[in-house]
Amino acid sequence: MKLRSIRIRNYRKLARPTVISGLTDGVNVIAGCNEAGKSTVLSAMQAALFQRHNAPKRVVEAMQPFGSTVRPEIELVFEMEDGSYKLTKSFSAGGGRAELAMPGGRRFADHDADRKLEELFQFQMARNRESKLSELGYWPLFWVEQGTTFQGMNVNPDVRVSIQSALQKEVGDMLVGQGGTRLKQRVGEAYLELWTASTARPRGPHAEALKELARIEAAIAAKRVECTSYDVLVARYEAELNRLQRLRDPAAQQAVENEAAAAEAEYARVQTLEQRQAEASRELQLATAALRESSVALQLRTELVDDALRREHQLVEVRKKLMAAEEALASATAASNRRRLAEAEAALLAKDQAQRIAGSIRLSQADVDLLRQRQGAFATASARLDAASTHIRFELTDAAGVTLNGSELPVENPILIADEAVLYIPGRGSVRISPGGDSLTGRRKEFETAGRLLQQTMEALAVASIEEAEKQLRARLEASLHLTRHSEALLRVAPEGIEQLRALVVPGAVNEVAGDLEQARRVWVALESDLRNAQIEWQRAQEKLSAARAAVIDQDLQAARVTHQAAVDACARVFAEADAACRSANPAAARLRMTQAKAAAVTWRDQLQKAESGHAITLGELKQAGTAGLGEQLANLEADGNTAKEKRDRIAQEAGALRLLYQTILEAERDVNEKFLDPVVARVQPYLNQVLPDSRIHFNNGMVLAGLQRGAVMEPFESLSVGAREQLSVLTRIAFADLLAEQGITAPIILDDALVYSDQDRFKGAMRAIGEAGTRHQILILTCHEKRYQALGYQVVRLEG
Amino acid sequence: MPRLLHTADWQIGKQYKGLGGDPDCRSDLRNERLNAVRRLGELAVKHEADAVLVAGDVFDMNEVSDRLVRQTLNTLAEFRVPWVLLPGNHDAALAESVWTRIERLGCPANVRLAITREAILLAEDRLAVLPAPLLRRHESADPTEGFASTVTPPGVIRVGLAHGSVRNRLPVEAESHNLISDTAAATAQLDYLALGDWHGTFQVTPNTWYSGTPEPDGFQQQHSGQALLVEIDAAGSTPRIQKLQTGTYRWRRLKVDFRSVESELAAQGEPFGNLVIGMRVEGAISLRERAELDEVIHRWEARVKLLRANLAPLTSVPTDADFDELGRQGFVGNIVERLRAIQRDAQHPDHALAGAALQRLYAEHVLGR
Repeated sequence: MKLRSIRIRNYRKLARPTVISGLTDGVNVIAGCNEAGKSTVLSAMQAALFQRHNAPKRVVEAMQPFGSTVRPEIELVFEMEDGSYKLTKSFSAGGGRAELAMPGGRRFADHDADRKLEELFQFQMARNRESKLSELGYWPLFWVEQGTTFQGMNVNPDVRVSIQSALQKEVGDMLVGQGGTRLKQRVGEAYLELWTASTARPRGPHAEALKELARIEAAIAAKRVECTSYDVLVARYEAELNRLQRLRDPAAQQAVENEAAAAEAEYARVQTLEQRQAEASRELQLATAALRESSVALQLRTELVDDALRREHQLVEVRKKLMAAEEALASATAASNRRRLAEAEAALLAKDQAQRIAGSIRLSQADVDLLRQRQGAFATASARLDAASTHIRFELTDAAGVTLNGSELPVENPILIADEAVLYIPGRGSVRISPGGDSLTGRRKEFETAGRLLQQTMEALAVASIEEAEKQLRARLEASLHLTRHSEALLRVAPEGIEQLRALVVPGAVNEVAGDLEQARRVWVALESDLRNAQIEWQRAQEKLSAARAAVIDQDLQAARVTHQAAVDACARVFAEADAACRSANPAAARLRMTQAKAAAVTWRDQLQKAESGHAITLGELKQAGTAGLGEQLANLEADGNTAKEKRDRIAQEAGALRLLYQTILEAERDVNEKFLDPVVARVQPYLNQVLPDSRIHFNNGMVLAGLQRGAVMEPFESLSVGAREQLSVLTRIAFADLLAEQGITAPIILDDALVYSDQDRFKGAMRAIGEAGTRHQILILTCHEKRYQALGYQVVRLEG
Repeated sequence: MPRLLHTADWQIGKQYKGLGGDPDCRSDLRNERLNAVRRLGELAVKHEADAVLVAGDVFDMNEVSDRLVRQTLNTLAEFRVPWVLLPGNHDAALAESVWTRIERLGCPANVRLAITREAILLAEDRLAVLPAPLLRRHESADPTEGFASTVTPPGVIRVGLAHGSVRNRLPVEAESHNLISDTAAATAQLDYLALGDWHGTFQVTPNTWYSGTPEPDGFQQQHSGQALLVEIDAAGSTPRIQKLQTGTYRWRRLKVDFRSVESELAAQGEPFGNLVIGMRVEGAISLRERAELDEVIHRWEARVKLLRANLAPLTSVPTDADFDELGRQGFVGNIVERLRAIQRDAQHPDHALAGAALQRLYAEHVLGR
């Protein structure tokens, strides 16, 4: 099919008549700026070819220009192998029209025209709605709408089927086909009976069989445990039974009882021996105690005697010491008296002498004081006279021959002159000196009176000077002091009076030892006290001894001890005999034998009783367990287990076979899909070499462009650049067109702004491929980039908006 | 003239656990063992036997249910004939056993438990039964050892009753327990020694016999399903032995080529309903043949009591005709090729499943078309 002209009127934005004519066999470029209506042209062609003439109102309204109810009209002229066709369609909500003029003058109108179109182009028009792409057979492969190329080539299932059938000849019965599809479906259904879809786990009867087997196996395990317990119970029962029979044996039981009795009798005999031995032991102890007592008494008596003797001896000793001390004291006292007497005599002498001195001096303190007063008055009068006298200082260079009052000049300088005086200087004469005033005379008299009084006093006191008076007074005081001191000394040394002392001292030399009288006295006092104590102690010891002897005399004590010793010896012999007898009877062994034999008898009876009751209990348990028939149950379960295992094996085998078969079917299907597209891949390769050299496209299941292989690297379609994606899309469509053309299916390839993302080189490459395809297919390119195509030398038809 | 019915190995309560298959079928086989006892009772009455001697393994195990024990005792009580029951290795007279339980449950008057070595006088004291009960499952000593020293009144017929394997009769002695001397009857001056343990009827000496089990219970049994009617004229005379049929089910072990499955089964003859078949099927089989074989087996499974077919030995060898049917080319051909490749590759994880998968493919694609 090749389009020759398109005439459109009242269709969407193409309200005015639009004509595209002169379309050639090869590449046709239809240019128009954006919004000029390129896509509308494509839409109008689709409406004419695929929409019923009496399309429903809703569909018609979508075709009408905005806000208008005019009839959209489309006229297509196209060529098929048998000649030229002209299709005219007008749509209206009230009923459209269709007319198809065919070669040879045949004409079809309305429904007939639509039916003829369906026949010609192998598709089905929708009845009461817009026809969908998916219903348009292979057409969508050829017509590419604006802005969809880079989305790849997602071929819908119906298109796939039409392509598959178109390719049937080339790939033969490789295809799944109807039989294959049915097989896959049947096996798939059977598979899903036994396996879950997504996780491939056992389900349905398969899972049931596994579960049932597991259930029975668990039951078997549990039952085996029960059976084992039962076996153990039976074994226990048997052991108990054997034991019971042994315990019930009367002879054995009697033997045990006999031994118990014999052991008891033997033990009684041994006990008697033990008692005897214990008695002898007690007697021996008593005798020993008595002996110990008499020994102690004797010992005590000896101690008392010894003590009395020791006390007596001590008393004698102290007495001796005291006599010595008395002698020493007497000697010391005599020596002391003699020394005291000497001291007393000396003191008496000194006292008398002092008394004499003190009696010879009359001068008293009052006398000396008066003398001092007179002396003072005289000195005062002398000073007052001096003060009134003339002072003459000689400062002569030569005093030779100079006299005063006729005498040589006194040594003192200056000289006081109190009376008329004549100074004579040889060769010069004399100087008369008259000391001044009346007071001089008075003072002189005073001075002379004082001198007289002093003199008279001294005479009265019979002293030459005041110093002498003072000296005499001092001597008198000193003698008084001595008197007092010696009187006291005398009293101290001879308090009893010197006469009495003199009487004590025996004249002549005596054997006296001068020593410490006090010390001698202290020793004597102490010894006297010791003597008193010693006497008391001695007396006490004597009393004790006497008292003891009054109770028991010494001889009796000694006799008792001898008697007790004899008793102890006798008891010891008796005990030794009893002890030997007891030992030889071995009481511990006899006791052990009796205890054990009695215990054995008790144990026997006890065990018999226990065994009887244990046996009864076990038998009860056995009865209960035995009723159920555990072995039978286990065997039955095991039989069921075998059946379940068989069933599991059978179903597992079937499930395995189904899984393998189903997998294989799916793999084969994948394989077929790949092989099926091999012709497409082969056909796209020359075009691909123009644009993306050394690369190869891959399809996945369902004819979806999967990716591009460059060298060893496989790039998924989604990760390719937008440009590469649209190029691949366009080239693949051309390949499909080639493939379909070989099967006699032709349709113009319409590309609506399909290569807008390609760079100049790629664009040129793609256009080379398109140009090459143009030698076999009619290609309509709708574009707004007319210059790109003009540059490549294509004739461009302009679509005016 | 004392007359005895000699039987053994009833193994009542046997569950046939190794048999597999349908539980209902196992239940029928199990019930039939008690039915066989009833048939024995009928035969004993019919032949006016003085007693029925059961030479051990009366029960399949000591741990059978009380219900089953009571059912058995009820059956025995129905017949006015003394039954002498001997413990065997399956039901050894342990301290606690099915026998002690019978004593507690109440033993019918006509049932004698031979659980001690004490001789049992029968037939108006003309005949003494010397029992050799197994007191444990496995005795290392000859159970019949005590017979020689068991004194019986002069002129009384001496019949031994024992359970175990007779020496010098099996190519290889399967077990070393409960072995019985093959001259035991002569040694103990027995007029007859009634043995149990072997499930097929077997004559050891003219007066030493295995009666076999009255109801066959295994594939490898010859001459089972019988009881022996023993007539002894007097002490010292040779007994007359008559075999009586008592079995219901016919157990058959077959080894057949898959092509002759049908004919071999048919050859077993009517009535098919009492057949218990263990069949090993061999041969290199095509897909179509296998599908047909499955059909034959399903048909016969419904016809016989039990058909246990072991098809594992079959080798699946798809033929050209199979492949022609499947289609050599195209989609299915591709699948077949893949499965065959797996079948050829012994290392492939799914190797063992490939044959079955192929068979299934055949079933779904060719037969299901």
